[in-house]
Amino acid sequence: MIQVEGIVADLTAAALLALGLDALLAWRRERGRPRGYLALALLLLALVAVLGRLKVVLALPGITAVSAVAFLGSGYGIFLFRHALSPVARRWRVLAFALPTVLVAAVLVEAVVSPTRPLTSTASWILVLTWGLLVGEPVVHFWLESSSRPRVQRSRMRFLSLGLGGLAMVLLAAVLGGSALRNPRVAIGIQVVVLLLVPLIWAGLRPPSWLRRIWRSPEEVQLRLAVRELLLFAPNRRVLAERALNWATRLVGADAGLVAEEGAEVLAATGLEEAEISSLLEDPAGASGAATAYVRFPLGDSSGILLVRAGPFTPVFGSDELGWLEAYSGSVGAGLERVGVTERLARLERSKTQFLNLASHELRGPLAVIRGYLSMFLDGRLGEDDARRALRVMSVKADDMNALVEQMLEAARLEDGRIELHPSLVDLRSVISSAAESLRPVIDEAHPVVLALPDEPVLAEIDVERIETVLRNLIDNAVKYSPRGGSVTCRLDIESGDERATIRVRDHGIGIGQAEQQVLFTKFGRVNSTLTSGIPGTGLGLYLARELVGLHGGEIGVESELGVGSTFSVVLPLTLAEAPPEMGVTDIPTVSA
Amino acid sequence: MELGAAFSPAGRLGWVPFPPGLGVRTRVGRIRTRLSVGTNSPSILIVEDDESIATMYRLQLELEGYAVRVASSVSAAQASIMATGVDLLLLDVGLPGADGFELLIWMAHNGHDFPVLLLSNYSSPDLVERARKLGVVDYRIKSHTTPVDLAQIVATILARSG
Repeated sequence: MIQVEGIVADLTAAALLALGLDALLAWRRERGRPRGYLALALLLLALVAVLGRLKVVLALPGITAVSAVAFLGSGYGIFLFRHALSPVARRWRVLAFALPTVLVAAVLVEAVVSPTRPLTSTASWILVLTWGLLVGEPVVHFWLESSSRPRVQRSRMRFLSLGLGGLAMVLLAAVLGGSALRNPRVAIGIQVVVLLLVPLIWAGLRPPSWLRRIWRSPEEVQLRLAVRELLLFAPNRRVLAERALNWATRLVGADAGLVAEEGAEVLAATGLEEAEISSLLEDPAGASGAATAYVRFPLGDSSGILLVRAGPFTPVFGSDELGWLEAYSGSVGAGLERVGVTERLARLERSKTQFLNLASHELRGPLAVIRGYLSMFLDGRLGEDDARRALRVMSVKADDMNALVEQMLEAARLEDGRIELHPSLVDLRSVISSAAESLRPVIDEAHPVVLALPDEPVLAEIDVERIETVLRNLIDNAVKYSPRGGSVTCRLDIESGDERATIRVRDHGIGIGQAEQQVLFTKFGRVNSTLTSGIPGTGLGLYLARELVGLHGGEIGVESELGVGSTFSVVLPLTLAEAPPEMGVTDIPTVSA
Repeated sequence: MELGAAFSPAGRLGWVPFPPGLGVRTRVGRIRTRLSVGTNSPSILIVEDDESIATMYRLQLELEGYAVRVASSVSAAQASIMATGVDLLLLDVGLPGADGFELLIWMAHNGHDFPVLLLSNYSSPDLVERARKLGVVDYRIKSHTTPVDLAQIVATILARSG
């Protein structure tokens, strides 16, 4: 029986040593203070067990004292492990340090005085009780803390708690047992319990993939239902990404993570600082390892990234987690695309409704005048002068309606890609003059149009009618959005070694805010604010301007300051390129002041 | 008032007033303004920034014998109301700067309770509801309301409030 007891005790010591060395290896690989303290604690515990076995063979002086110091050290190590994960109040820290220190001092003094005497039962009591306090508090703390954690983290914390708590109980029982311990059966029983606790602690430290799968499995059923909800009903990309990330971190037991569209926006992030997010996105591979795992998934034309970062209680990110994340991210990507399409359609639908409202309002203006005067003609009470004036006004209003309808048709042609340019070589100066001249009847004295044109002709290959429409639109806007009056300047310059002409239309009007400038040239991207509420417009003019200038291989831009004025610039190549560039027809405005 | 009634072709020919709160308030306003104008022809103020529409309505209403003034913005309208009284206000909604509703609120705060006919080319139910709450007598779509129709509506409103 004594022989069996010896073998079991050897096995226990070897198992504890293996556990300590494994913890040391894990610390060397992953670093971090908590892992270091835990490795130290387990190694010291293994040392106690090994010294216990050596004591039987070799009667080395002071071996009891070294065992006692190592034993207290292991308890303090576990306390430090707990403190590193979840800080303890200062006064408890002082107590946790003072108690073992005093005991170590006492043990050392005793060792010097009588090196070979074994510890008295009172001394053993005090030692085990102190160890029990140092280890017991973290055990209870981890157990309580675990209930608020995701299942995988919770299981891991509980394994660790159970293992360490079990050890403490066994040691207390051993000391309390007193004379019963001399019974070899009891001694063997205790050793076997310790032996069984070792794999429990090890599973808490480094759970194998099959165990992690088991921990995860009850939540996977919930996840499947949640993912279905998410993919079918998430109202927008952000909500979907946030919920998807929540499930991802939960299932792998991570503490932090993010979902982002690569090269674009971060859709969701949790537990990460701004700076961390940008550095992680810049080089996710650099950060990856045991503590960070990421997968890329297809997302529209680019790709998305789903990244999770481990916390102190996160089990390992192994191939199992990566495989799971990969499969999961595929669904997330599909969901994000679905929501993206839905959002785009909803935005388009809103824009079209908004446009129909605006367009009908714009058409009703001239229509009201034409119908109104017609009713007065039919009523037969208009005098001759009034009738002549009315006819002139009706003619102008009919032209307005015609221009509006043309604008809408032109936009429709652009959508269908049916626009064909009819280029001819003309002097840009005459195009500008003609555009300004055509607006003369509708421009009042408060808005003088000043033309700053070069003396020499500026010949360009353009579709005259369309560029004139663009310029007329810009000048008309400059006047409309300058309710307090002020001159409108049209300036023509030759730039880039005589290859490009720039036409600038400058006003002193209400100006355009930075955010509004972004949507100005998009379809229906009219700036709506109290300043513009009384100014007619469909939001098609500048969109058409951009597209038509784009067809010429040129570009249109704006510089503006609120309350100061705006300068729109049209840059046109003097020679038309063979194939006009592709047009973007799907842009939709998102800002409305 | 049903929106459909106001905006349908049948609705624009016949005047369908907002039901509550018209008679007494407008009668008081009318007496006050009559005294201030000192003439028998009712005074109408058109608040409209589109000059061609304002001119057209003015022409028709003057043919009907009303004294018509035009203001192209809310501030001009306020000045006009304070300078001389008004029997009826024809108000556009979309105006540069402050809109027609702001003028209605200003009127309520300053005790100006003559009838208001809102004229706009916007026709959302929200606008109609807001106008109704602010005590507007009627809401008409300009392109549906010819000057001849308008003259009839104006006559009906003035007859009721008188």
